[in-house]
Parts: sequence; C-alpha cells; structure tokens
Amino acid sequence: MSDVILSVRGLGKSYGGRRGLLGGSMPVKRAAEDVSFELHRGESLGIVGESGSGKSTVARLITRLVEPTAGSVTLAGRDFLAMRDEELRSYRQRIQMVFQDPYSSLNPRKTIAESIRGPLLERRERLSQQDMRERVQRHLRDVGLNPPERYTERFPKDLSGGQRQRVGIARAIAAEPDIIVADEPVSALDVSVRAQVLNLFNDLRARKGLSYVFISHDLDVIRSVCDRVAVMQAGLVVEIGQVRQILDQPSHPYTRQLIASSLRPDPSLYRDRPMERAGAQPAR
Amino acid sequence: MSDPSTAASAGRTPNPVPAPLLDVGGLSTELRTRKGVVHALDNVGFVVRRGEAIAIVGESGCGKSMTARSIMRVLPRSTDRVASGHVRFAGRDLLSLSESGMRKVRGADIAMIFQDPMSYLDPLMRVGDQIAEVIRAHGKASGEGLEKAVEDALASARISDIRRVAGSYPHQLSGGLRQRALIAMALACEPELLIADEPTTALDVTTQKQILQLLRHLVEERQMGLVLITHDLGVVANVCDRVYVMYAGQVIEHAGVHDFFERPQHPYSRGLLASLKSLCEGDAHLSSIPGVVPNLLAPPAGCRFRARCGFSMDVCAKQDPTVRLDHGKDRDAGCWLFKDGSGHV
Repeated sequence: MSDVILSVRGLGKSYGGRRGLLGGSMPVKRAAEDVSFELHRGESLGIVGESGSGKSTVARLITRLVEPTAGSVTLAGRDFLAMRDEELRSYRQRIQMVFQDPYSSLNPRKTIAESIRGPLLERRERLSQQDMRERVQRHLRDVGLNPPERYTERFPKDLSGGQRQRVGIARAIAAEPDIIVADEPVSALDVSVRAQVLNLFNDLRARKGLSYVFISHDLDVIRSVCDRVAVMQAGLVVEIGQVRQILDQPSHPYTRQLIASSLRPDPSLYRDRPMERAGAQPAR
Repeated sequence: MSDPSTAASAGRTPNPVPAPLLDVGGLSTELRTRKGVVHALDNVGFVVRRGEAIAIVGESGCGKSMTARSIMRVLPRSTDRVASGHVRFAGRDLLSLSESGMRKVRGADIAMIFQDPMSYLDPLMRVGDQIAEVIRAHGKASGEGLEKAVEDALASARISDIRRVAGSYPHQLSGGLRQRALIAMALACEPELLIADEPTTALDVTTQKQILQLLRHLVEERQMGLVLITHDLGVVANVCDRVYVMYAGQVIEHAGVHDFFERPQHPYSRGLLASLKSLCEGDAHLSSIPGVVPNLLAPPAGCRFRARCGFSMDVCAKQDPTVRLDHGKDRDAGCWLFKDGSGHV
C-alpha cells in the first residue's frame, strides 16, 4: 500500500440539475461517473478515449482544477479533496499538469525564465538570485533545451511547438512533483517532434522517479509511455489493465472498436483488398 | 539513369497514363509579411488523374495548405501572390482566368473541404438551405428540381437520415455529420476534383475511418480526382494512390503509395516513417528527426533539409536538389543521394 501515490475512488462530476437562472431546471450532465484507479510511485497510467469520454475531466478533477461532485482523491496518503489553504498549496505542488497546447498555457508576456520561476517561487525556499538562475537553467537542461541561456530571455512566440512543450514540461518539473498529469501533451505536435517529446517523458520518468497520468486519444502514444491504461467511454472506465494486455487482447467491445479504427502506416492493410463499402455503415 | 528502387517495384504493371485532370508545375507563392517576403511555396508541382487520390503530406508550415489556396486562388491577403508556375485543370490554366471565371470553377469544377466544418457552414442557416444555395448559385438546379438535388447531395455523402440533417442547423449535428454535410455541399455540383485539407483531423478515430471510406468510395465511383492534404501518414496509407511529400515549401519526394511506405527515399521521408513505425511498435526509445524546419523568410542555400540530415554532403550546401525532381518518373526524390545514378545510400 505504501507505494500508492494517488488513489482515486468513485470520482464523479456532474453539471446542472439545479434551477437555472430563468427558473427552468437544467438537465444533469455527467462528465465523469464513478471513476476509480490507483497510481503507484514511478508508474505511468494512460487514460484513453474519444472526445467527450471524460478523460480530460478526470485530469482536472485529480488536480483540483475542477471540484468533483462525488468520490475521493488520496494523494500521498492524505485526503486531497479535504485540504484547504496552506496545506492545499503545498500538496498541489506534488501533482502538476502539462497541457496539450503550451501556447495557451504559457503566459505570452512572460519570458521563459519568468514562466519557470513561478513554480520555484511557489516553493518558498528563499533562493538567492544566483540560485534561482541556476535552478531555472537546470530545469531547462532537464528538458533538453540546451544551452539554457539561449532560451531564458525569449518569449513563447519565439519558440517552435516542440520547444514550447518542453518549456511546459520544465515548468511542471520545477515544482518537483511526484506526479505529472499530462493532457494530450503531444497531440498538437508534428510526427518527428512528437517522438522527441515522448522520449523526453520517458527519460524524465526514469531519471526522477516521476509518476504519470497520461491522457491521449492515440493508442500508439499510450503504448510508448504507459505501463497500464484505463479506457474511458461516456464518463466511465470500461476497461483497465496492463497496456500490452489491453491492446493485444481487449475484452471490452469499445476498446476493440478503438483499436480497429486506428490507422496504420501500412497501405497493404487497406489498398490491396477491395474497399469496405462506405454505405455499409450508417452515419451517426 | 536507372533507379534500382524503382526497378525493384517493376513487378506491378504501371498504370496507363491518361492526361491528368490537374497539372501543377513550378508553383511559387510569396506572402508579404511585416518581417519580409515569405517564400511559402517554391517550385511545387504534382499531377492528379481522374479516379485517383493523391496525398500532399508534410508537417505544419511546410506549405501544403498554401498549395491548395494557390490552386484555388484564395490566398490569405491581397498582398500575397503566386509569383510563377502553372495550374492546368482539364486543359485550362487557372492562373490566367479572370476572377469571375475562377469563381465559376470554385465549387462547380473543383470543390474544397476543410478540417473544421463549423467555420465553413453558416451557423444561422439550415444545412439543406445552405446546400440549395450552392446549387442555385451555380445554376445546376432550381425550382422543383432543387429539393431533389439537395437530397441527392446528402445521399451521396452517405447520410442516412436526410430529412433530419437537411432541417438541422450545424450546431445540432455531431462532428462526423457536420463533415458529411460539408462533403455533401462540396459534391452538390458534381465537381471533377475535390481538395480535402485535413478533413478528419478534428474527428474521433471511429468517425475518421468512416469519412475516409466515403472519400475513397467517391473517387472510385465517380472517377473524381482527390487531393488529400494531411500530416497523418496513417490517413495517406488508408486512402491515397500516390504521395507527394512537402518540406519547407518544396516537394521533396513523390512515389506510389506502396513504394513510399516500403522504400521511402528522401532522408526526411525515411525519418518520418521511422518515427511513426517506432511509435506503432512501442519501441523503448522512439526514432525522431533532430532539429527544426528552416525559416522561410531566408531559406538556406542548397538543400533545405541539410541541417537535419545525417547524409549531408558538400553538394547539398551548394545546389538545391529539388530543381531536378523528375515528375515524369514513377517516383523520384529531390535529394543528391539519388542524383549520382546509384540510388543507394
């Protein structure tokens, strides 16, 4: 039990249901329903599903960017949802988030160094200016932005997509977290750069003993960075287990459908046999 | 000059070569920005035949969407211009048409669909009315024939629930149905060529597969030409017959789809495929291409991929290899590795 860093039980989030502004009652929308899983120290857990499946909602609930309406989140043995003020502030550093689009998650008016200084100041270590500068440079080096001086005084708009995502990751690790929750962190990146950033995630986990909750719609991405995977559909976890087992022997029909629909870079799978007739499947 | 990698695939009978539906050559487009002139396209060329789907593939900023916009003559700003080249469609040069002549081509002869149907559908108009408007504008049907033409268009996009979709506003439809509605609108005037710019990038994988099947079906059934613009090689493998790879505003390789995936030639193509394959196979360390794309405000002399290439030679810094790319061959790469007659690396 000691090596469980994050335990999620019956987590749910519903919107609406109350009286609306004009007196009509709003329909209840359940973005997530009864989600449970455990994350072990050093483990990488993937969450896969299509848009609207609730995977991003789960990311926001376990980081308390959005408050759940049901369930519990235990972080490093403590009730995360009951925390307030100073305790919450210090525990929040243990679980950091990386977003899909670093362009909108980095402040465009702050230099790269300023963006990374934010979480360092939050740690309240009373670092000297010199120590602070070294810390910023170390984190930039950690994410492969070398030499760091080339990046510190630049703005997000001056960087490529891949470099910006590296800054997003540097900012997350600057808080020295136990867990990184990454929500589609490579979906906006080009193929050749995507591989660089996925390699970085794998290196950082090995070097720093991080745990990941890694959200993606792409099964190949999940395969390359995760040990276990949870498959979500309509707010529910329909299947959870070892990545290899789930991808090689899926038991839930939805998982099978996801696997069958992902396209392989191999034309012989498609082009040597007669096309499946498009009319065979009615439009949804 | 014999090319062994072409010879290796000679087991397949080459297609008889009918006159191309679309023939683009030497296309160069300049965008005037505050920082200077961006050479967004440099000497871009490709052909599309009837009943054939070609892919224009590349990463963001490589010029693939700008190619489509140059062909359709819908560049972002009035100061942007096609500096040189030809775009021959069914024998006519589109670049020399008047604007009103071009307006008749757009939508009727060549139609286009986009990644985000929501920004190309009018949110305040029912889908059926929007399609009717397109048909009426091109004088393809009117009065009593109009309703039937709208239904035919929706049916050709394999929409089963025609009446509901025709009577819906775009926001009432799912992402997949919206893209089908846009396809229906594009098909309404029975174009000979369809340009699809990242048509499934915003869709879930299960919906994506259905839309791609629909596009392939239209190519075969109507003998339509399809230009599919995408960054996704899985999509290319699924739908296209031939592949054009773009890098930094240039076409750097073209090949049949099997040749391309089995034996990519250009080091950039090889890097992309290696990266994708290592991802699919779940390798512990993924193969990637180091470096970043060059700045098109001041493109480097010689080969534009040189700084990222593991095979770079002296000649690569001096002469641009893409000027010698041969569109007459079954396949070719704009790379000096393939210009010495060996075809080997």
